Amino acid sequence: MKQQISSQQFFAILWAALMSPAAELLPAVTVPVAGRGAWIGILLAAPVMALLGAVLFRVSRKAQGGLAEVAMSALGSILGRAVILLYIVWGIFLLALRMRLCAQRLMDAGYQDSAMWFLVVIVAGMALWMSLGKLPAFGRTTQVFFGVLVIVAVLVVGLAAPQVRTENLLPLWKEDMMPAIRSALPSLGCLSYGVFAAFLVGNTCWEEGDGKRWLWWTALGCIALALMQLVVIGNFGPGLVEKLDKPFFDLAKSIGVKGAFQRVESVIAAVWTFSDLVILGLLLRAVSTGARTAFPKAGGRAVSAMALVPAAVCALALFPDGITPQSLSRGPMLWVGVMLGGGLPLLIAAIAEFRQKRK
Amino acid sequence: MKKRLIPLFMSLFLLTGCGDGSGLPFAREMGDMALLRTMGVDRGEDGGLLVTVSTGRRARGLQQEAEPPLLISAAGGSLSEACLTIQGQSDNYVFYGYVDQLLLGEELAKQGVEQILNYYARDLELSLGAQVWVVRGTARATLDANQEEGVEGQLSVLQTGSEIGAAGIARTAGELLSDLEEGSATFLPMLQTVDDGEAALVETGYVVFRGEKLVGVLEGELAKGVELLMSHAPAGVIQGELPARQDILQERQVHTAYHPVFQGDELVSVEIRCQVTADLTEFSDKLSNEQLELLRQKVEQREETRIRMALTALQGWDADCISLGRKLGINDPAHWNWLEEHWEDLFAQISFDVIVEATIRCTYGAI
Repeated sequence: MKQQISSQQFFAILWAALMSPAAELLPAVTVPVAGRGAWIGILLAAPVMALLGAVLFRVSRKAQGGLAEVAMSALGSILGRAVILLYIVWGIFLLALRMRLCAQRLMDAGYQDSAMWFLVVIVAGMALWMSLGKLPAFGRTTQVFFGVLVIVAVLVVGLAAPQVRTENLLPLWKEDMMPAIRSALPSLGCLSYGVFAAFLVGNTCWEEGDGKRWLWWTALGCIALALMQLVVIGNFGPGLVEKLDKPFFDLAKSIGVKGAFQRVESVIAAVWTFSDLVILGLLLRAVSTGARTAFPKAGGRAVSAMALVPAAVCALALFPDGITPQSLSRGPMLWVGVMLGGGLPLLIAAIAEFRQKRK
Repeated sequence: MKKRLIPLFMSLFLLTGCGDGSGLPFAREMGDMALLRTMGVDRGEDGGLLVTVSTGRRARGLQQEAEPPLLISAAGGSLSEACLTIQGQSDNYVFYGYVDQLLLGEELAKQGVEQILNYYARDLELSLGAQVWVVRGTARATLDANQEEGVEGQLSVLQTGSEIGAAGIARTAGELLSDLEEGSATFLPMLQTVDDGEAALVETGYVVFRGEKLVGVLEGELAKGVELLMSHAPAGVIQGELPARQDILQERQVHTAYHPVFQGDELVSVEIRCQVTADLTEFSDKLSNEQLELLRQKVEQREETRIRMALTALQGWDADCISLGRKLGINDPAHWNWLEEHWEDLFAQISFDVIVEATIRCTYGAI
């Protein structure tokens, strides 16, 4: 019997997973494109994400499965398998990248005191544990993690909001609109990690009104990310944001409450591990689901372990320094994300829709 | 079940911290750590940097008796080199994560501060939220003069005073770097040690930076002028404005707005409208309406003079440290692109139309 999660758990998994890349990439990847108007990009990306999700839900329901099942039914067994294999390879690479970035953040939170291999092993072990358990348990855990992440994010943004300087955000005029529109593309690249949640659509118990809920979650999620960018840019200004490695976490370093706590960035970095664990768990489950659909003989649990080991090795071997994974995630992976997380699923959905209509 | 427990028990060996290969962070006792609060940076003798750090007064012992601050000083070619030397000189593990005050020596400020600020932006322990002050003389001498009590308490009071309008404008490393990234000038508050038997830090005004280098000092009325331009109510009182009376006024709220005046596509002047609200805090007897009007006019004249003096000084240094260009752009976004391109050249020559509107509030009813 298929393990199923509720639609609320599905949305929590999607947005909890996105919080980790969003905190690292936004507004670092949008400011070089749009300057002080960088926060607008994510708002423009929201309708695209909503549309893509709606289309994927529609075809997934008809195919009675997730993205993997849709790909197989729309593209046929050979091309479908090739596409799923592409997602599996991309997923394993993202696993390596996310594990390395998560370990780096934990290392920074401990002021470079630990060993990288140790942190990667710990993160990999935790991710494997989360992916081997039952899907509903993963869904429930993620709901708790998501709640904590939201509270912490609100705390950071709320404490930093009074320090926002108007001259860092304004003036914005019609000349700034084109760059702001262009910044929707890197914003979409950042959201593209969410495509792996589409592999779990078949394991979700959908109810009446979930279409509206999807729109609400997308709108609120993107508005929250726009607000976060607004506060970061308002505090540091676009010029300084471009110079900083992780503007959101640098903002967390600058906040404190006199008499209560002075520095909180280590706690925030540690809490953000929840998001890393969710995205790693999601990637492992997506890889496992994809492999099971394309190659029915592949065992689910073994696939997770088989995907994790090369990913952990890659995390240590491919990225010996902290600069390579960061520049990869800010550059090429964003564009790969736009293509594989946006373009390709849309194409698959269009073909699936066309085939279903012909039937 | 047993199979599941084996890896768990094996992983517990890692927690012992035995050997260098355990991977865990180094264990540190809080009592063995020197939590630094203030960092002072001066220009070194050989062109390098002289860094002095202070812990502030430390609580020790059963009764939490306060011990004098731990002061350590080291020279180096760069900030990181000096910080490493400091670690070597200390008996405790030196932790920079609590440094929330940065004092820059006057000579260093003239030489350039970007290297220091960039280090604050990149370092894992230091934060851009640290308050930055320029001190007259050297930071080392300032920290030495306050060796017994430490400067942390006084700096903290100044910072809080700034937030509630009882002191000048305090600025953070992040604000400073942001200003330098977005424009070409910025300013920092300046402090001086006054020794009347007991050393105390007092605000003397502001230092103006053009690029990363100090180009001038604004003191007295000029400093108040900058505060008015920044919509910050100047600390202190206004007294003796009317003949034969000792009325005392305290400015509570200031709001300054900027409007560019264009003729065609040319910027001809800038209108500065400053609204000041002052409270009549002390007076011997009730003022007549004529006296109040006269007092209001005197306050307006006084504040206009302060603003004009500050603007003349800033124009003389060609340093728009109050981000006037960007403020004009906010009020007239349609001309922002033009302003962004030409403002650097225009600032030193543009004429200002300063309008001050004062409101005086008193305790015996509305005026």
